[in-house]
Order: sequence, then C-alpha cells, then structure tokens
Amino acid sequence: MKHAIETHHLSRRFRRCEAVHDLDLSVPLGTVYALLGRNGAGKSTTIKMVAGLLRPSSGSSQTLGTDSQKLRPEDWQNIGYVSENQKLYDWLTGAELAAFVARLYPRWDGDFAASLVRQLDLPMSRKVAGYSRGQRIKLALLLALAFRPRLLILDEPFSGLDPLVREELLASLLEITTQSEWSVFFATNDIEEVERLADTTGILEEGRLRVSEPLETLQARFRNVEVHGEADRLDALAKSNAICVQRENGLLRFVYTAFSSQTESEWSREMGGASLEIAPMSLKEIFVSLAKNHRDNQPSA
Amino acid sequence: MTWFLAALPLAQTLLLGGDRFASTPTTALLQFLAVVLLVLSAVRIVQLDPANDPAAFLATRPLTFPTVLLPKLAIISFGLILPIAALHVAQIACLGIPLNATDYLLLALETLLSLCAITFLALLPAFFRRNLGDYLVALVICGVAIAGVSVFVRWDTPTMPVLGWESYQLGMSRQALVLFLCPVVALGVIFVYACSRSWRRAGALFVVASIVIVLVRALWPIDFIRHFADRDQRTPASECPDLAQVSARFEKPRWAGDMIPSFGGIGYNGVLYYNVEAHIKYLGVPTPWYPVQRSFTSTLTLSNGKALPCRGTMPPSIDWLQLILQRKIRNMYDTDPHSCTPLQLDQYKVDEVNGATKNAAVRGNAVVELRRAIVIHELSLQEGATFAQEGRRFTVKKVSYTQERLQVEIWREEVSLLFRGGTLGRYDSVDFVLVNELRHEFVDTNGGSMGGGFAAANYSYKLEQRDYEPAGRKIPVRFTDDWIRGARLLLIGSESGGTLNVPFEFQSFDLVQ
Repeated sequence: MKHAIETHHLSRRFRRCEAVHDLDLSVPLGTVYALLGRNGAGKSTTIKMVAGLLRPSSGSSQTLGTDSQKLRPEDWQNIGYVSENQKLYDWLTGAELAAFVARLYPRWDGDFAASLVRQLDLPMSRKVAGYSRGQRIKLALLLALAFRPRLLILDEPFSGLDPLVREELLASLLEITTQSEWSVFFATNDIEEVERLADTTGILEEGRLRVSEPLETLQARFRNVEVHGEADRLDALAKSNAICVQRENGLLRFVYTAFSSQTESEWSREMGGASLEIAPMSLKEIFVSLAKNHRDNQPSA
Repeated sequence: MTWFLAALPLAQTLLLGGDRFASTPTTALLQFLAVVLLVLSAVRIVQLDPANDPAAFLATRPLTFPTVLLPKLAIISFGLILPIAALHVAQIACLGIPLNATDYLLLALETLLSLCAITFLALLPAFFRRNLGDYLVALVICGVAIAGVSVFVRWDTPTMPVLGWESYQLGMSRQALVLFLCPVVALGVIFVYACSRSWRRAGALFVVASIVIVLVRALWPIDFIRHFADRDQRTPASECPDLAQVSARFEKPRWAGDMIPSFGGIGYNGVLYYNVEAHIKYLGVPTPWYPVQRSFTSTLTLSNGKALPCRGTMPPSIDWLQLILQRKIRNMYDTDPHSCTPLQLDQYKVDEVNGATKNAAVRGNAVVELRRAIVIHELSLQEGATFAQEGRRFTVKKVSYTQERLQVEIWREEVSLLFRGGTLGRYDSVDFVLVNELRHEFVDTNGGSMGGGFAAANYSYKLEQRDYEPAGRKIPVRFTDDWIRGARLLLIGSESGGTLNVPFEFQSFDLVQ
C-alpha cells in the first residue's frame, strides 16, 4: 500500500447538482494533502466519501487500502476524523469524554493525550457545553490524535475560528504532524493553512480537481510573466500553457503553468531585445489565477 | 418525566384505594401523555448522535453500526418501555381486581407489545431523519400513509355484517395480530438498516412486511381468538343435559300465510337487510337449561330462482328465569319459561332481493346451545357491598326505593385483555336479579341499565343504574325496609351444556318490508 487515500473516477450527484465529478487523486503515505477550494467546491463531499460517510454516485475510493464504503471498526482504529461541525457530548466534561473515547481504542496513548492537553491548553475538567468553538475543535483534535492514527482526515477544522485560536491550532497541528509519520488529508479554503501544513495540494473547482501535486512542484511550474514590446508573440512563448492572458498597450501579461529551468533561457533567446519579467507565484496567486481562468472560460449565461 | 407521568396513575390508584374506581379521564390523559413523552424521549435517544449522521460522534469511531444502535434500543426498551409497562401492570394489580397469573403475564405482554408497536413504529422515521423537524415531517407522512392503508383495507371495521358476533372476535384477533407483528416488523427494519446501512433494503423490507401484514390480516382465521382465548364456562360432562332427548318444533301458526319474515329495519353501513324470523318450541329441555341460538347457516331462495346464502353468529345470552324457579321463588311475572324461542336469520340484503319478495323459501341449519344460568355471587343490598372475581368487580353504589320502585346503582369494573378476546372472567356476561328468598319474591330489571362509564388501557368502569319497578306484574312487590334487608342481589352468569343442530326449511312466504 503506497497511498493512504486513492480515488478513481469518484463522483457524487445530489439530484441535479453534481458536487464532485470524476475525481482521481491519491494521497501518498506519510504526506499531508490539502484539498483546497472555495465554498461549495465539493471538498466536504469528497471528505465524506473518502471517510465512508457518504456513498458516491459512481467511482470508488480506497482509504488505507480498504474500500471507503466498507471501512470496518479495525480500519477506524487507524483513522482520525475531525469535521468543523462534529458533534460532541455536551453533558460530559472533556476528561470524561476523553476517558470514554480512550476505551474505544486499544492503542490510545495516555501520555500523548496528556501532552496534547497541555499543548492545546484544554480545560478538561469543564463540561463540553462550556467550551468555546476553538476549544471544541481542539478537543476533537485531541480525540482524533491520541490513539496515533495512521491517517488523519480533517474537514475544514479551522473555519470560523478567530485568528489567534487558528494560529495556535495550526502551530500545534504542525508540531504534531512533523513529529510523526502520519498521513493527513484535510479540506480547507484557507491558502495559508495549505502553505503551512501541506506537502501536496489539490485544487478543487466546482467538483473538478484542477491541480493535484506537491506544493514545491506546483510553485516551481507557475510563473507570472510580463513581456514588454512583443505582445504578439505569445504563441511562440507559451504555446498552450498560458492562462489569464492580458494584452494592453504593447504589454503582455500571463501566467505560465509549465515553467522549468530551461524556460527562461529559451525565452530570452527567442525574444531578443524584448523586456521579459518572470516572477515566482505564491500559492494564493496560483489559486486565484486558476479560479480566474476557470471563471473566464465558463460559457456565459 | 416520562416515568413520573406513567407513575401518576399508579399513585392515583393507590391513593384512591383498590375499592374505588381508579381510572378516570385524567388517568387516561396521564397515560396518553406518558406514551407521547415515551415516543419523544425515544426519538431523542435515537437522534442523539444518530448513527447515520456524518457529523455524529460515534460514526467515525471503531464501532459497528449495530453496536452504536443496539444500546439505544436497549435503553428505549429497558429504560422506557419496560418501566412504563411495569407501572401499568402495577396499577392494574393495585386496583384490587383479582387476575390469575396467566392474565398478569398476558397483560404484561400486551402492554409491552402495545408500547413497542407505538414506539418502534413512531421511531422508524427517526432512524432516517436527523433532526426533530425532519422527523416530524416523516412522521406526518407515515401517519398519512398508515391512514391511507387503514382506509384502503378498512382497518378493524367489520365489513362483513354476515359474520355477526364473529366479526367482533375477528376484530379482536386482528388487533392482537397487528399488535404482535408491528413491533416485529419495525425492529426487523431497524435491524436490516443497522446491518446493511441501506435505507433501500430497510424500505423494501418495510414494504414487503406491510403487504404480508395486510394479507395475513385479511386471511386471518376467524376462530383464532375463540380457540385461543375462549373463556366460556363449560358445565362438567356429568351435569350436562342429554341432548338426544331434546327436539325442536317450529310453531306453525307463526309461519302460516305471508306474515312471517319482516324487514330488519336497521341497516349496517348504509345497507338494509331483511330480518327473517321463525319461532321454535324446544321439547325435552330439562330444568334449569334453556336453548339459545348461537349460529346459523341458511339459504334464502327467491321466486326468481336466486339463492342468497348467509351465515351468522350470536353471543351467548342469559336467561335466568328457570334458575329462579328452581329456587322455589314464585314467578311473579307473566312469563312462560317454556315459551317459543325466536330463530333469527337477519342478514339478507334488501337490494339482493331486488323486488322478488313473493313466494320465497328458506332452508338451513341453526346451532343451538343449551345453557344454564349460574349464580356467581349473592350481594346484600347495601351501599358499599362489593364482590370481585377474575377480572371483574361489582360494587353497590347506591340504593334508593319507594314502595313501588327500587333503584340500585352498581359500579361494574372490568379488566380486559386483547389477547383474551376482551373482558376476563369465566362468564361472557353478568346480569343482576334481585331476590328476597324469605318472601319467595324476585324482581328483574325494568328498562335495562344506564349510566356513565369510561374505558382506557385494559380497564373500564361502568355505572349501571337498575330500576326495579314491579307494579302491574302478576304479583306486585312492595318494597319496604324489611324487604330490602332480606333482599339479595344475585350476580348471574351462564355456562354451556352442549350444542345441537336444528335443521329448518320454510316454503312459500312473502318478505315484507
């Protein structure tokens, strides 16, 4: 088994709306995979199908080598799951809830749980009903981590949290995941989370996976390009790999999606005296340009 | 809260004491509210961390679906249904009306099944709906569906008037059947869903089971309750009359000419029936036995050749006159104990006759039972006098009289069980006769009984107001203090001494409306 998660032509339709379309992605073992997309892009639907909580309309997915729809209790011994709206038992204290959950996992690590409590600064003696939203997420994370799962699935765990709490949680999660060889598959619409946590990212647009690759290669192949004076020579430069193309007053601007080390020298040779500016892009810029390109290529209503 | 509401009727019974009627509309309301709360609590338990909800806490834990579901069902069963059923059985026990051990078991079983049927049927939508709003919508849809099915199959409405008394038994039997099958099916559906997590499979089972229930119910044998829970008292064989000595003779004068059959008058479900009636004199019936028609099969043949078959059954009736005479009490009424007994065949539809009313003939067989009246108990005619036996209690509530008229109010309390075909006790019905043996006088009721009553959840009470007004009889009785002191209220039932077949055939008569 090389992959923690693998999907093949995974699709889910809700009546007339196709939430996820023909999704093929794989999360290698030991990596952190971020599924990035706007609200309604199909992230939660994908997560639920991968976790076996929602049946796909077609296609299949495997989680830790098992068909996601047939996950058995022993499979869940290796999977931690946290979603933004996960219910917790309000009438129990944090300690009682942790004790209850600990009995479900033979591999529950009490010491690790205690260290997580300290790290996350959780008031374990207080009833869950009195927890803030951030504390609830922290507690859910504790309950999903303390049995040392091989795969952690997080469905927008940090959405709606205030920046301070989010920062704390991100730092904690980063520390925890770097300590262990865990696979993490998480959905988010926050690019900063992806940049800080993820090894690999998949960008989901209206149920379709536009990009799925390691962050390094993604950022390496995307470039902002500006050409002064030779605005007509786009085809010669970019062929089919230019998106978000803009021309104005002899200036050509585009995003090049297949940049490599030879690209710049080839272009310099071909362009002669023309001014060529090539700038690396942040993940946010890449995401925005992909979204913009998708929007521009939509058939008008 | 549910327990508290369910315990209130028991508390009310204990406070009122066993010697007073303990079920009132308030009790019934409390019991109803307890059941409503039971259902809502059960729904809350099922919807608490619903096992099919992706946001549920346990859905993503190393637990099987049945493991998550079964504790909830156990809590509902043992934490809600069982205590409420126990409280109800305890309330019935505290009424002071004697029941035998089997009846207690049946009462417990019936109560449990009733609560299970209500709860699990009401719960089914909760397994597929995650919040109370969705659940209520689903419940309304289920309610409409059940109402639709009920209307379609005429649930518990005896649509076959020809069955007569049997239709009542059939209704009871069907209710018992439905009571048994509903929780079984509901639990089956939950189990299938729990195992397969497929609402399609569970829904398919529900549909198939519903069709099976409807079919089984439609084909359910009439005699089920009669054979399963027949409580009619049988006379020991040594005391039974010799049926071979009994013969029947139809009274010709009553059948002469065209005056015999008459129109039944009262329709059933908007359908009018001819009431064909003959009179039979039975010979060789030893005292104190009396004949009573229990069932018949017959065919009415019209002048146009059309043959109308029908059958019917009647409940046993009590004729205590011979018993009184056997006790050497003067017959103070103008009644002949050996008079003719009517033979009633009253189920021919008017529209089936379709105008062919002349020159009809009827042929058939009547099953006639010889019965005798039994004095169950003698009560002194005093306010507060009481007698309880096997599911019944009678209490003299009020006695008032003048010289010409006596009025007695009697509380009749009864425990009934669906699984026993209705009220308990060895006798189907109980009647009252007032005697003063010192004076060799008796009076029967004048105008029957009347008064209020109430029935709910296995218990019923009825205030029977009996007017004894013997003025104008052959030997008028004068009610005095002495008469009242020497009077006894006889509680009378009846028992069967065997049945005989009486074939009959009548030719050439006219049906008259």
